Amino acid sequence: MTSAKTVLVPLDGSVHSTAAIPVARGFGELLNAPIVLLHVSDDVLTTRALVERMKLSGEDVPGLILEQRPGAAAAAIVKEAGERHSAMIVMCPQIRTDLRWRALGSVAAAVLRSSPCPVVLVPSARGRKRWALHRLLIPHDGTPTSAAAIGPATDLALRAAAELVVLHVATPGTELPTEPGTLVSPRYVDQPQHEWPAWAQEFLARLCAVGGARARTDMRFAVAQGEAGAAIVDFARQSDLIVLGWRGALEPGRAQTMQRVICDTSCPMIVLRVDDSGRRYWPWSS
Amino acid sequence: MTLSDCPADFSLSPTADPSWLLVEDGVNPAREREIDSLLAICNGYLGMRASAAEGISFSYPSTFIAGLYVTNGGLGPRLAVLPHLLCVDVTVQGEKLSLAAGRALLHRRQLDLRQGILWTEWRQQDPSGRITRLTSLELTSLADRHVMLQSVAITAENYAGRISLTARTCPLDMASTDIEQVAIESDALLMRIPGNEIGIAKASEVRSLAASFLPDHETGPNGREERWSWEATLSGTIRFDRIFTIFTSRDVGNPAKAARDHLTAMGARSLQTAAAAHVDAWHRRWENAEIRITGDNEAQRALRFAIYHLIAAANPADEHVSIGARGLTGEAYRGHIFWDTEIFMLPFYVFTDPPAARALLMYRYHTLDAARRKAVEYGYEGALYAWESADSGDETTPTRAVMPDGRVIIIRTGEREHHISADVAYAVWQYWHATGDDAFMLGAGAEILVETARFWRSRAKVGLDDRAHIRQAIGPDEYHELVDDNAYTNAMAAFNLECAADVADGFQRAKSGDWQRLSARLGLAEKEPNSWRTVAEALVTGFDPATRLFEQFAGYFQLEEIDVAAQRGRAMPIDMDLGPERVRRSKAIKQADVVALSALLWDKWPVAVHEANFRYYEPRTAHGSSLSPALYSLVAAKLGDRSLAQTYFRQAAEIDLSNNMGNAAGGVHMGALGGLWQATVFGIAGLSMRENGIVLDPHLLPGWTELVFPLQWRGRSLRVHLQADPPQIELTIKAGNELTVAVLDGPSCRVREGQRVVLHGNALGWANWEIAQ
Repeated sequence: MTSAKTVLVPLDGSVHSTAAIPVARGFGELLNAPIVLLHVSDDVLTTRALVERMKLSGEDVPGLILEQRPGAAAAAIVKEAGERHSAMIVMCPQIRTDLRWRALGSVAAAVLRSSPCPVVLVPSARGRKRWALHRLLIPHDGTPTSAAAIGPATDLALRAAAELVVLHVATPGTELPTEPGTLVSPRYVDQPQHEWPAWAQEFLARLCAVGGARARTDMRFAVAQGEAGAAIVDFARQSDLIVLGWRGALEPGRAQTMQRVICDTSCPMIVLRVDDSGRRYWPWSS
Repeated sequence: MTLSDCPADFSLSPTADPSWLLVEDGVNPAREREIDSLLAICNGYLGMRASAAEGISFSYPSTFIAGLYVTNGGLGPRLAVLPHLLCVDVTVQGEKLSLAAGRALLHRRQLDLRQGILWTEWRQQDPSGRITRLTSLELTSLADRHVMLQSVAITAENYAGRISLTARTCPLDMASTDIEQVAIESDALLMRIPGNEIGIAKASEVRSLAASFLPDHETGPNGREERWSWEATLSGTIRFDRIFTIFTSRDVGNPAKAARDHLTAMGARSLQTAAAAHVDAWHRRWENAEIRITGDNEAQRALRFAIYHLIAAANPADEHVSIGARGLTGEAYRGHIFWDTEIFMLPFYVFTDPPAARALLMYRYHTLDAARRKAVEYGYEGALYAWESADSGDETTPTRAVMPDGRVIIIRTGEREHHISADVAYAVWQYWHATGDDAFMLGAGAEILVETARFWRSRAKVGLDDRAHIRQAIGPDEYHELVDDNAYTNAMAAFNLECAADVADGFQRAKSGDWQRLSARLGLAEKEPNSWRTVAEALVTGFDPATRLFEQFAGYFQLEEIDVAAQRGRAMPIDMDLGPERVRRSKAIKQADVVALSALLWDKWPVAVHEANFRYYEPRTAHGSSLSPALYSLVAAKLGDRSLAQTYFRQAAEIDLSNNMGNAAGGVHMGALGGLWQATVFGIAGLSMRENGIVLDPHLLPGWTELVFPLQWRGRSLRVHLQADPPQIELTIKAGNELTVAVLDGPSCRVREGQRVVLHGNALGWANWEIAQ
């Protein structure tokens, strides 16, 4: 087993960004990794001033490492994650504009694009409640690319002795996906009482085989109909972590499901970037 | 190096013509379960999925035995899942040979459709650079259905070192099987599943092909495992042979002893001898079944695949089993038997292997009491067959199903899809008409016809319009449940009633004594057949002479039009995409319903009626059932629409072979495979039966230059050879009495045994038959 090095938590000095801390603590325990709180600022700050700047209370600090780095926020965070071989970056993705919360701030977006490790996005709405991993939700569109997220998800589930719920959202009116090997709804449903259970079994089996799932994971399969983002948000109410495979696109019109989910859920979401081959090395995997 | 070059000395090699081989190169995690199904080796008694003997974690290795069911929970019986029996582990210098360790230089599985053999080649370079080659054959014998063979040749290609081979009869972990207990009895393995036992005897041998050879040998606990080890020489090949004999408590009182005795009786017969008998059996079977197409390799491949699985699914020697929706290739559909068998598969057996067809119909005869019980349960007379049947013939359709989105839906097919009774009767009539097997009809078939006719007489109710109606039924189009006067159901019921009356009248005249005895046993009054005719004539069929259309059910024409064709490329079936309620209110239909009538009862109506209905219903069919495309191909071909026939032929051919969303992972679609054969013989060749012979009406598909197929008809063995350009029909009677052959609406001629007749055509029509030498 490869031990994780650190869990990196960027704090921008806002209260809402500290929502990441309980989740980071949970991952720290799970991965046996120290937690590093990072503030990026060109100001020269004493330790006490740094604690105040990070909006930390006295009970936040024990067991944590505090760091400050100068420079541009996103670049500094990514650099720190790389140098510390971080297992993950845990951060609040949202920023508040004058009128409303934006799903993904520019720093979080830039970190997502360049991060050398998975990024856990913690909605500020979750607040500072203690966090533990009992159920993971992995939305899956049937493509081999997104199946790559199943391996690390099962690894986390096994470490936490948590249940993994695989959610397939069937959206009416959509065309057949073009990616070869994609598993979608069955073309023929001769007898629904037999076809659907067989299809569900095969969907999960194919997903696990392609994604390199760990054996003995407590896994459940669910299907929802409707718009993908709304369905994920709905299922996430009963979950502690959403596991999302992401192909790296954030341009307008792309990653809409991810942005919709960030906006509407209070459930943390780990974003696992998947490359073209559909495979990726996850720092905490054995 | 190809398999045929390797020094395995199997005395057999894969069929040289690659078009007979279904090849899978490499291991494909996404498709592995599907590959298990497609390459399954079955013989109608045993079915073994094609999981690699070395074990691949993402496959579903399992074995099935026809008729062996277990009951679990409230879901009723399902085909028992037995372990893969051919597990072999090889270790080289103490390291297990594994696809996960080192590099696979070659991993190829080939299903030899002609010989019914699964060939495997595996060259693995281990992390130390040693290259080991394993070549193997596996088969379930068609010559002796209780026998299974395995032979593995192991070659140390570039090293000398210690190799050990561990052969297991059952895996260490059997949690995914139904085995409760394994013991040794009568010097054989005895596996217990709930309600049944399976006895397995085996003889194993490891030998060198080059010189005298004495490997170390040890037997594991309970005889479930044997291990051999030896010092392999550079490039030396060792062969491991296993012969299994298998019996169950369904077959005999003491299956372990029977398996051991059978193995003993095989005596000195070597694996090669048993394998040669198996290959001979397959050759004989292909002689009576092979369809040869020139000009379309994909169609040829699809038909060979279909015919292979059809041959492999049937067992003429066991009339207490039938063929489930997925045969013995997978556990989907729980091994249940549907109308697929009689309407889609049976014609293949009727015209290529009548004893197999007879055995399948005898299963319906032996389960007639269960059909009688079901009729009584629902307040009807006669026999109402189970929509889903297993070992006893009692209804096994689940009454509820949990959909993947968590919705619980009520399943009404077991309660209301009654056309199954007419489908069985149709099959009885078709078999009898094609074989002239009066003994079957008197001994079993007539009883089925009488009891199903009695059912329909009680099921149909005369309305205020003085017509007979069948209300609240489900037709083949299951998107519309509980409809009144479904055209398919009513027309097939009428056929059932008339056919039963015809048979009663015919046997009353021809074999009065036999018929009187049967009538007495069935309590059949002399006038009862007339009452069936009365009901048949009164049954509403929804036919409108003005439009020539059948209304699929009462009120169908008032439903909403939706663009079904636009839905065909969608990610979900139409009933999921639009929702079941919306589809129910629309004219979108699941599968051939009225068009199925055209396929089954072509001669009953003029071509113009078939044309009108096909053109009306074809654009409204969503093809949500795998049974649908083949029937549309059949009818399109009979209508001369070769292009559309080809489109649907290809769609039917792709159901298992084109990785259709994992549909085949739970087993191949036996009904669709039978449908493909029918599309070819009944549609494209245009075969139909007459009292004194056969009629052909060829419509070869675009690109097809020749179509050749054999036929069994009333004890005659025929060969039909059709040519596209210039059009030509050639027929040979290889064995049997004289018959009449005709081309539809064209000339006919009498043909005697050994004669070959030829009919030439041109753009203007057909000339006269000529007797060729």
